[in-house]
Amino acid sequence: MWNKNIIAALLCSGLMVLAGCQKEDSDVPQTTPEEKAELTTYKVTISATKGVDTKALSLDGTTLNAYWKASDKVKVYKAGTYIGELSVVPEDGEKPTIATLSGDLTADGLAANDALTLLIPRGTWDYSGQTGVLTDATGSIESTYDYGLASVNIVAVAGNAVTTSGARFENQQSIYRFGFKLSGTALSVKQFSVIAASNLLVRQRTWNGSDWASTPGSITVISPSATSELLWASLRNEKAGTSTDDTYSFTVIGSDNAAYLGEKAIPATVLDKQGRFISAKSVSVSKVVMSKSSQTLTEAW
Amino acid sequence: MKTIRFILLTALLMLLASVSGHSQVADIGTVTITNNGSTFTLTRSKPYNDASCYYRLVGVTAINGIHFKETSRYNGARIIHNDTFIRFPFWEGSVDVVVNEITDLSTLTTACRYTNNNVPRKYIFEVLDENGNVIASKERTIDYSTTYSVNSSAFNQGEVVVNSGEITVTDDDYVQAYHAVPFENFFISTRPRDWLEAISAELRMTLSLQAKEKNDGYQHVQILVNQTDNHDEGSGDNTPGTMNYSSYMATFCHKGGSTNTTYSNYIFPVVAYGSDCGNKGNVWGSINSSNNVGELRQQLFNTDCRASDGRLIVAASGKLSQLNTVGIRFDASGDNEDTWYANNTVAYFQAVDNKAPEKSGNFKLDKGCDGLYLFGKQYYITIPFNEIVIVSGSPTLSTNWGEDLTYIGGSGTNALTFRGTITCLEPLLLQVKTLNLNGGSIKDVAGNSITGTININQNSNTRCKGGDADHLFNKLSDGSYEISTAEELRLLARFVNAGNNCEGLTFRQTADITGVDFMNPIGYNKNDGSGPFFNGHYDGGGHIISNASITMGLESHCSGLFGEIRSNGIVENIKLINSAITGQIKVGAIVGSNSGGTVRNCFVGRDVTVGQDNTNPNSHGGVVGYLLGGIVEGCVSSAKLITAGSGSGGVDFGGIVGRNSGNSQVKNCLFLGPKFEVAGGGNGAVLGLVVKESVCTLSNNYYTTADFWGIGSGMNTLESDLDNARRARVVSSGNYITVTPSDDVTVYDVSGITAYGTTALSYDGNLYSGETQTVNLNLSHEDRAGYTFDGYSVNAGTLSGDDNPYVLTVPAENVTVSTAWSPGATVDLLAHEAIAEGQTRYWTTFYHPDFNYQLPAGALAFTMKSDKVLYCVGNGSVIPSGCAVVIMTDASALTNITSGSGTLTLTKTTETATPESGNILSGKSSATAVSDVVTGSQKVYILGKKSSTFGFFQFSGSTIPSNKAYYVE
Repeated sequence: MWNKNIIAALLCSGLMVLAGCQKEDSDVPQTTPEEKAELTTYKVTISATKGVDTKALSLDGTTLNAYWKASDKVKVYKAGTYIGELSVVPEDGEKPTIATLSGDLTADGLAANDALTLLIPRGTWDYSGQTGVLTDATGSIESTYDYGLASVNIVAVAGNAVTTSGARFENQQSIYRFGFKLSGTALSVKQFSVIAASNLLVRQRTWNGSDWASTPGSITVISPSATSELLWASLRNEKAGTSTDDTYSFTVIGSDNAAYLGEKAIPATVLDKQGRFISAKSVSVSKVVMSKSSQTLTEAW
Repeated sequence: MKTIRFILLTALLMLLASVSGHSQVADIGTVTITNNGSTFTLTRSKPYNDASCYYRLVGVTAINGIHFKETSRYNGARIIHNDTFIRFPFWEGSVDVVVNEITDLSTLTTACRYTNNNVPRKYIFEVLDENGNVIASKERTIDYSTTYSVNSSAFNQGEVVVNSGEITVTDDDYVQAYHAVPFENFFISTRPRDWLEAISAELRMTLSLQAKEKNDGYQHVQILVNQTDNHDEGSGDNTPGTMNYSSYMATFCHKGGSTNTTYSNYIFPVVAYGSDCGNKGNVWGSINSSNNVGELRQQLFNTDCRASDGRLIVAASGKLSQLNTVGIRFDASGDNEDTWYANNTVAYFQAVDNKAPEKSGNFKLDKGCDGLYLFGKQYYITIPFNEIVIVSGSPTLSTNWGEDLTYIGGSGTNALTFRGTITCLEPLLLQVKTLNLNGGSIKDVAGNSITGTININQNSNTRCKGGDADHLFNKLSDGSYEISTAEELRLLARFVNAGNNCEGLTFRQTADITGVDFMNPIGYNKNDGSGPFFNGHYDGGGHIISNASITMGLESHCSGLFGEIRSNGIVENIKLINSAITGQIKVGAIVGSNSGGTVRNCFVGRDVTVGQDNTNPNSHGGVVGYLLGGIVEGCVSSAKLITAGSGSGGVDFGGIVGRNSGNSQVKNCLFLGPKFEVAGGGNGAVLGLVVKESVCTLSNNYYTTADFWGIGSGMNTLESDLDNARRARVVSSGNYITVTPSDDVTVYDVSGITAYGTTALSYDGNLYSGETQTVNLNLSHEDRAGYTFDGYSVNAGTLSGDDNPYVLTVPAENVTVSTAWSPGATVDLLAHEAIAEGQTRYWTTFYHPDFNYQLPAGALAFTMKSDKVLYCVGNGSVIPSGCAVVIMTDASALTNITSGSGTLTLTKTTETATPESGNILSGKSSATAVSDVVTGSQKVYILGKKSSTFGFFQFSGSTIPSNKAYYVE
């Protein structure tokens, strides 16, 4: 098990190096059209549908629902090349799950049967900097960490008008809700970090138009203020679908600034696919107290 | 049967070993003594070998050779014996020794026959091993069928009735009234004549009678001793006659002009008057006052017959044996009708001893084995007296074998026995000097006291064995001899000064020694050049000698802990502190004069003084006073050299060596001051004077404080060596750097010097070299977190080379070798895997005084308070400068993970964070000695893991690494 972790860590560190080569601040991967390519602007309208496990989010009892907002943006790629951004017009209603995506795509030619990749909200997905808030706040999962993906095929191109198949967006992570207890009592928490024993929690994920690169690591959630309430986290565990269990290790900073450690086993059934709502309200933690020994050492760490 | 065979075979082999001259001393085990009368049975606990022992007979109240004697008879056919030696027969577990006791006291002299009040005659039977150690003893009281006892009652006055009836005395001369009695009536058993005569008592007498007159006249009386056939003639009224045969004659007048008087009492002599005193009236007034009678007309004493108390001496000292009878003759005056009557005539005798007792004959020394008279062994001396002596208090006996002997017994007899310990190291013939009353008294039975000291002044032909090292010192397993106390060090001085130069012997000091106030150093040299010296090996073992007061009088030379050592002498590894070494010529703290020997690896503290305020001192050194073809190396001295008067009058003073002669070496030595002022010549900070034509090869010697050059004047052939006794220049290390000379290392662990080739030495953390010296240095530096190393530099002199060894040319000042640095962007830390609270994380600690550092995602920084709980610094992602932290991280923040460790890279940042107050963690930017951060019993704790335990552990290293967190508690 340990060796597996090491190998995973080494693999991940390699991936981090690759990720580090890219411009981190850009929402959009930089692609450079060939100088001699002849670019054309197309008009496209796509009917996007999603049900309970697509964007956006609202908590309804124990089920997370997703619906569209007009402020949403969709990035479009063709064969690894970013070709444009679509705006969203949700259907009428309080929580529309269907929307119409429209906008201009600039490409060196689109044709029937071409595959387009649609990403929400951007090409680089970063799970760091979470605040533990689900919705209705800056830095909330709803606003920043709810990533979706859909693929469509071009049905027809008539002049500059492009017709595609309907888009069905899928969430690329699960939404977790954590609560920590110290000796059975809810712990007031300022922040926590979580890392999977598999080290397959994704800290950052980058789409180059044709493939994904994931950087694994721990995810740190820093609450705006210390709270004994449950904290939310958007976690993409790429162990999903492997039918094997995983264990999350937590490093918790309490409102007393002290460090606490806890663990939670995550069954394979919970991890079977992304887009789940997973609740772990009673993660037991213990305070980290450094032992003092009269034994001697000659070398300091 | 097999067992019997085995025993027989074993016994046979042992017997063969014995017969074949096996020289090893067999183990006798323990020995018990039982006795049946004068037969002493010695039983050993380990039979079946040819063990041997010795015995010794010690007189206590009995005198060896008089009351008892060593036997010549042993039981057992195979006993080999020679005087007091006993060898057990192989099979025998016990042997008998019969002591020849003299039980018929009548055969002994009077003095040896009698005791006071039957004090018994005793002696002690001791069994000794071959080294003279007593392994068993038993006291024996000699049985006598007839005892001879006296006491002070022997000097009481005794009464002998001459005639208890009435005697009629007429005027028919002295012949008509004669009455005599033998002296045996006086010398009864409590007043033995032989004893009284032996003690030189004289016998005094008075005569008591009653007298009355029938007719008026004068009365005459005559006392005769041993004169049964002769008497003196009467002559008239007022005189008893002409004295010839009698001892005493008297004429008295009972009652003049009266007849038929009544009895009155008379005592003769009249003690108030001497011979021919003439008419004396009322001399018996006290007894005749009621009758108003009694008038002495005349009394005559024969020659030497009047005692000092006025009584009659009937026998002078030593003549009591001549006494046979005492006779009384009476006469009356005139030639008609002068009759008188004497009645109840009684003689009173008293032995009088006015002579104090005296020693008699030769003293008796106990006999024993060869080892008996070794240094440290007990011995006994019996002093015989001419009469019984009675002791009060604790008299002592002085001899030339050491300290005074103490009295152990003999009071009431004529023999006093003393016991002492031989502390004489020279093999001297015994001389018994004086018997000292020591505040007590020694009297005879009559009460006559010995006054003052009794001079004995007798010699014996017995010579003590002195001491050899095997007997004087504890022998260690390596064959060396142990010196662990001040007494043993003093003993070594005495041993050497008794003429044992100890060549081939090693003395090893095994403990710190304090209070060494012996008078003389170990070896010295008299003015005539003779004297004892040390030629052995003394290894101080790094132990301290303190509070030593070593004195050598002006009549001798060479003072120091060791006065003089010779060519095979080695003195090393000594730490001498808080001591005073006095002397005039050739005075050194460790060695006064080193004539061809070696003094090595010694330390002399700054509380040591050498010399004294006396006239014309010379050859004084902080380590060695005078060096004659010897070696001094690896020594440090801070001794204060005391000069004569107010800094004048001394010559040849040196911080290490005072004066050199011959072909000598001084190397790797350091003089640390203080300054000494000497007006005379030949004074140097390291070496004082080098005598003309002599050579002293110097190498790598330095001084820190002095008003002289390293070598004093008088140099003749040594100009090339001047460079090797120079003022020390300190080569110090700047921060983050380690400077080590690359030349061969010689460590002097006791003095604290480490010598590097011939160009430098280090002491007490300082590296010393001299001006213009080129020193090869190995330089290394710490890794400084956040900085890049740029190279080495010096503040003075020159440093050349691109790699080790660098070459430093030392200037005429102290030098600091430093490092140059430029800032870096990141810091790599090694984090280690460990389980805390049941979960695995990676851990490390960090401190930086100057920069803030950003942690990668997955790593958190914590401070720690006294509750040992970790507290997050801000949100844990930034470490502020000056904040020592524990870093906890998951593997995702690490690179190069292998074997449970990985690299955590911190990045310099301008971001900041606020730590919790009360952080107990500390850190240093450079490696820091533990001693610099703790006080008293404090300990340093560092983060780490041992077995499965993770946390903070006591730090047992000497130096805390740079940029690490620790805490002190």
